[in-house]
Amino acid sequence: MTHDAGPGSPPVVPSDAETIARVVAGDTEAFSILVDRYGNRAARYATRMLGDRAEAEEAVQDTFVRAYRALSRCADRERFGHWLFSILINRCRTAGARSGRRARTFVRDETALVAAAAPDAFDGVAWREEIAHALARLEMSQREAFLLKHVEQLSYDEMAAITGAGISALKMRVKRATDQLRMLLHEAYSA
Amino acid sequence: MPDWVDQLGEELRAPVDLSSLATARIMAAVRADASRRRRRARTWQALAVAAVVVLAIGIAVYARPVDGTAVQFALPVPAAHEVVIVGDFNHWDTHATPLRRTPNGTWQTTVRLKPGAHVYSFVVDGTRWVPDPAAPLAPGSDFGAPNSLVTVAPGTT
Repeated sequence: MTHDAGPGSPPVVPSDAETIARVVAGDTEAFSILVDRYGNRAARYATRMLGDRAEAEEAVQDTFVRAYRALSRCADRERFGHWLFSILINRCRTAGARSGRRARTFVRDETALVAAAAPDAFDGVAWREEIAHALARLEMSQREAFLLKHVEQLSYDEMAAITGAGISALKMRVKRATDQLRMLLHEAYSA
Repeated sequence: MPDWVDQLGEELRAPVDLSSLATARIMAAVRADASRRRRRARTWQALAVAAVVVLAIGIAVYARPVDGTAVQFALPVPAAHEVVIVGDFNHWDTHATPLRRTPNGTWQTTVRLKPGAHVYSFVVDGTRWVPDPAAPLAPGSDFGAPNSLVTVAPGTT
């Protein structure tokens, strides 16, 4: 959502802090700006983390609703994205622990499945499924660290702030996750 | 960093769009939550207003300055069962101002009176009108039951 600065001017996009101020002041609909801004990124993280699209969407919905309820307590409003991610990470940990006993399923990606009908797309789909399968076999804390580092491309300082873990512990988790993925994907590729 | 890790990261960075259904659900939950909060806020607001009104009434009733001067009346009739005082200040109502018996047999009460002259009498056991032995008789008492007279000076409390 944007509002125009004037005829011929580029649209002015409200910052996170401005948007939060509007929501806290009672403009509930302004919250959709934040959902639009961070929804897809949150959905991607949750999907990669949980390995199940429906479960991921549920986690994201719950995360946004929790964030809305606690919005007035968001200390650094310009860093809403990081704050939201800290909620999402906790929510995914809970969901991951709950479903940890279940057999891990592959990501159901309808677009990919349709694309798989074309012969030249099959390898790509299979490879993505191998990646999802390998990710699912990582320990949850390692998967979390790997995704934050190599998918969300956060710095270790940012990761530490969001996860509450120490930098050295995070580096170790990323390293172990990387080694494990290399082994698992090598096995899959060689098979 | 190995190239394959970058390639893996790139693969995993492929967009995953939050469905429009999920977005709609989020906003529906947010609107419902906002509505609940507004209702709760209105309830608390109403309760706060009610509390202020009750407090204001309480203050008006109990904390306003008491009107008039406290005047003590006493009648030594140890054998009486009931003594009341009647006068222009209580519209000669025989139920309005009963006296209390003290251990020594004197009946007494305190009445707040506005400045000026007030005519009154005691009524003993419901039938016997008795003037106050400690006060002068009111003018005109000669024509019926004798009444007493008390005068409250302006500015006394």
